Amino acid sequence: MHPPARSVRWLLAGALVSLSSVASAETYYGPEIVTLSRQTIDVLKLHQHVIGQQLLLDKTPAFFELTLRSMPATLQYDDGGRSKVGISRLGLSTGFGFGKPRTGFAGFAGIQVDMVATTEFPNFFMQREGFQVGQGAVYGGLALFGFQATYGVMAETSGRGLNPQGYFTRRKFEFRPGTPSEVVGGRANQDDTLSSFFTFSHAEGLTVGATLAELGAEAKTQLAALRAQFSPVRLIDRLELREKLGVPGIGFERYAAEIDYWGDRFQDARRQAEAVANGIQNANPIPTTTSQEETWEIPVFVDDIAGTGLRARVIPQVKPEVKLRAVEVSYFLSGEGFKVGARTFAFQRGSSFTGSGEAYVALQPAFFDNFSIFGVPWVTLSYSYNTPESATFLPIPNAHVIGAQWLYGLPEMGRPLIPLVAREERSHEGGSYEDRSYGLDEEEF
Amino acid sequence: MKSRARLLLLTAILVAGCLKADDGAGDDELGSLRGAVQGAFAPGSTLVWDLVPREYPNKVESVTWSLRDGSSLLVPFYRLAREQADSRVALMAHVTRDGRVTPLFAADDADAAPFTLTANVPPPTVLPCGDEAIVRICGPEDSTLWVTDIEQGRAQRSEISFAGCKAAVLGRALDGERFFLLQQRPQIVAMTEWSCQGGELQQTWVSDEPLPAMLTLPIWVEEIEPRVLAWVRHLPVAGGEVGSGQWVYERSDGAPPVSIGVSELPAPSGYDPTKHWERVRREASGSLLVDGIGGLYRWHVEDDGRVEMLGEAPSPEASGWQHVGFGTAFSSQSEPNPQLETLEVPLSYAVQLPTSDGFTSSQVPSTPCQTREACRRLGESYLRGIVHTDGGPLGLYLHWTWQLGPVPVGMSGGGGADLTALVIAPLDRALP
Repeated sequence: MHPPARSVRWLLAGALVSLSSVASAETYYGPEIVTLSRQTIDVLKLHQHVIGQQLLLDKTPAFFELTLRSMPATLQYDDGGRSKVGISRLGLSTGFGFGKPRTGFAGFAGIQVDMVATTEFPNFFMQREGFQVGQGAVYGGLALFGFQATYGVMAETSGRGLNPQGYFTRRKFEFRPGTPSEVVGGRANQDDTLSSFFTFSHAEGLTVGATLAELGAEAKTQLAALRAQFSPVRLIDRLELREKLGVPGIGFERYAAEIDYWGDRFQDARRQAEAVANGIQNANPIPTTTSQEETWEIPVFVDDIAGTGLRARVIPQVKPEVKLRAVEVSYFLSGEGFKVGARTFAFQRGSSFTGSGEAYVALQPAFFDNFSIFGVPWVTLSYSYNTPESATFLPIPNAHVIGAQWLYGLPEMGRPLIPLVAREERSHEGGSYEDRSYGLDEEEF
Repeated sequence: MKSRARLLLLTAILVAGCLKADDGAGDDELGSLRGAVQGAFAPGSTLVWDLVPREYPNKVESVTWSLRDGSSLLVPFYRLAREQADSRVALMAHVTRDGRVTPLFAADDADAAPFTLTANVPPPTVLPCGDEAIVRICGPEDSTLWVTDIEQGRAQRSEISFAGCKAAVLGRALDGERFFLLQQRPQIVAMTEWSCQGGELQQTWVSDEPLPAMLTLPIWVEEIEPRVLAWVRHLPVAGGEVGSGQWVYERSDGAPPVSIGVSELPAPSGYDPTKHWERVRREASGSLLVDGIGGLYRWHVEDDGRVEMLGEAPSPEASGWQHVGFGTAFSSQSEPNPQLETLEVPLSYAVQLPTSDGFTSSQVPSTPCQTREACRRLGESYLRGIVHTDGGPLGLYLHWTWQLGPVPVGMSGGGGADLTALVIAPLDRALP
């Protein structure tokens, strides 16, 4: 056999083996994955990304983004049956507007959805019985010389396909006469809520983000995560230091005690759910191996090191104990009609270090130009392993995640599948940024 | 060719890996609800009935008897409400002196239905027999006996049919693996001794000097010397009112009887089966402790025959005392369930416990959970029994979940069954 042909065959065989290992999915019971999903999804982050980009671009472009990321999983239902599915996170963001939000007046509106649901795998377009946790928002806003305000209505479903204890089910449940109305009304899988929100932002200054969520047994809304970051991009560019140094930055991150951002407690939660689902009768919960205290971190980073597209980030944890939480190295490269990126983490989950890897490739296939009435989309494919990432998926330990994204419009308006910061390609066309970095740092909780 | 074969093999592995798992139903449909309910119970709780479907979910009663070594046997039962057998239902629970609980399940799954009593028979009667216990369940005509195997957590039903509770009374033996039976026969009362060795009941002795016929059977019988029985029975006054007459203490060795008026020793004298729990205990001195009406009494039957009132029963909570064992009772305060007024929502419980010189009473938690709210989210709880231990009192709680048994998707409503658990939980907890 010709050596190159042999190599291709073995490459194909290797791909099949790796796909097969991807298909050997972990088993999930309900409470552990649904809690993680509820803590992770945040449609307001999608919203903030879009309005932030508008200010940066000084445009309100029409766009449509559909992002799907999925991992194989085995669900165990409360009747003892199991089925293989995909756990998928769907992000949908679309909007339009007029005017210049930073240098003039602008108006805009949009719809956004952030959802985790069970689907087929790898065909994550087909929904499967299991669960569904999601948020959707419809918003409108106005901007005037860099001041931007939005108002929106947000709908939320906190779980479907779950029994009243939060485990996967294929049956319906009834309550006996005499059941208090708050018990019937508060059952986990019928908890749909509607709320409204305001946001306010300005084109200059520090980035501060906060996430409010219902946490703990009391389910009271509280500050789940607070993230602040200072990275003087404009100053560095004005001083022309990017090519020599890069863009340095420092941040502060605070996670509530209930938030398991790095997955320290996920395996304990899974063992607990497994024990209950398998009928291990234990009046007292399995003790967790890690404490539940709020976490403070101070990440320090340099983006686009010496203009190469390389990024390095070190995340020391300062509370509840001082330790090195993570080190990140990433690389981004873009060209005409394509973008590629890769990122790796070494991070501490629980008491031991582990690693993650991820990569993506984004293309703008020219042949769409022949028939698409919406223009040429960006199509992105990605793969991640063991990533402590919550922007576009769930931070599940050892998860193999595949992803795809379709984006019509400016690529900046879509969330990056893998958050990377890249070299800015600034062109002065009416004072706006065009085709600059593919992704901003989006590792929001 | 080799490469092609390898490729086929790998493809087969991939296909096998991607095949759907079996979607069939398992056998534990209530696992997560069980986990939630058990997880809510207070530390130190022990399940007596796992969560099981019940047609009469909250009609459970219980009675507790003391055994020779200071331990207790608690027996739940229904009245006029027969339930299905279920192997997850313990028929009774043994509680050691220091508070360790062992649920005792039916040795044969077919016998695993909770005890059902008719209206006119007394609650289950328990007698120590060596290290084990005999449980007598009265029927309309006869009675069945169960022998415990505490170490194995089992209770075995005896094949022997004993006389009904109106015609025969059981008594404790001095020691060893025996008990006694006094049975009313035409003209006489026969005395027999039975062995329970190895869980088998065998008659080991028949008295050749039967007792004369009795107008009323004793309310208490016990061996006080080898094969010498003593008993207490009521002697009514001809044409007298209920509650009048005398109590008589007699011995089978012909010793002179000791009598006292019912007014001096108030205790149920008529045939009121619901009032026949463990009411008489023999002390080392030979005197009898009597859990009487409204108080605790000591009757010096082996001395001067006087009756001493040790203590008066405390006042109950809103409801009257519900007696569940020797000197032990509970009382509750409740309100109608706003969603269904035929149901009650228990708000608080008080318990009465015997002491060396009377009674003590205290408030106890209204649920077996760590907090009342934790239990109320899952169902309604009812106190149904009490066990007195050296480590503090324990309560038998019934927990009736709000959630009905699962209904397959696609079926119309009404298919779910009521679900009940029984749990023994410490009572000396903070009131949550």
